[in-house]
Amino acid sequence: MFLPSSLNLPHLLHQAQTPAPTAPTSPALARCPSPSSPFNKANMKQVDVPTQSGAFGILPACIPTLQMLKPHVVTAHAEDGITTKYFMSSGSVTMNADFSAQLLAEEAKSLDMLDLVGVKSNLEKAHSELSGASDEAAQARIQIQTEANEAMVKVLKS
Amino acid sequence: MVAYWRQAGLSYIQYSQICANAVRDTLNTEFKANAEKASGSSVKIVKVKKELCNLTNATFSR
Repeated sequence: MFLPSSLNLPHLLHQAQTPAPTAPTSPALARCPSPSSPFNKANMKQVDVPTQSGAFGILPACIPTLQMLKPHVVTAHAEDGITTKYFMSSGSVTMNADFSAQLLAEEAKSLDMLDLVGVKSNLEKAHSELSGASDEAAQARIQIQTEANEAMVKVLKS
Repeated sequence: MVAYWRQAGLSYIQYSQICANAVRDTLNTEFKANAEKASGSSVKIVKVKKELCNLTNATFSR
């Protein structure tokens, strides 16, 4: 019996902090592993998500889809018009055929929890490390950090 | 179109971990303690020694 030496668990499900939007036309169905989820079983008007293939807004009766997220802000428009923004590091968004949706994020923080000075200094550090990166994998890691920090700078500045 | 990180041999799980660490690093100090709990840095990974594997195989094959 061989046990893998590293546990690459799909821990998105366990560590997720998940707002879960649903369409108003259906009973709200949401599966939220995190007890601190702010939108558990909430009806939403629209949720804007940044995905690997571009940012789009999920409306009620959106076609079923499964997308992986990019680090950027997710905007949730509630039925009463209140808009809430969360910066999500990465994760997935699933739109189901019954008009419910799950948004699973590895890290989802409201914008006031992020520190712009810290982001800028991390970004500069990443830029300087890029030239010293040895192989393609190390370069890719630094590039990912750079993109995540650049997204945070863009969001916090606006 | 293959993503540059996938071409470099990284999986989405690894991409996600790097992004999440980047976000955790930039949290304001009062929220950092909570984030450390979620980071998985408190998880210990133990590699099973080969002799133990063989012993287990022998036990089951009897």
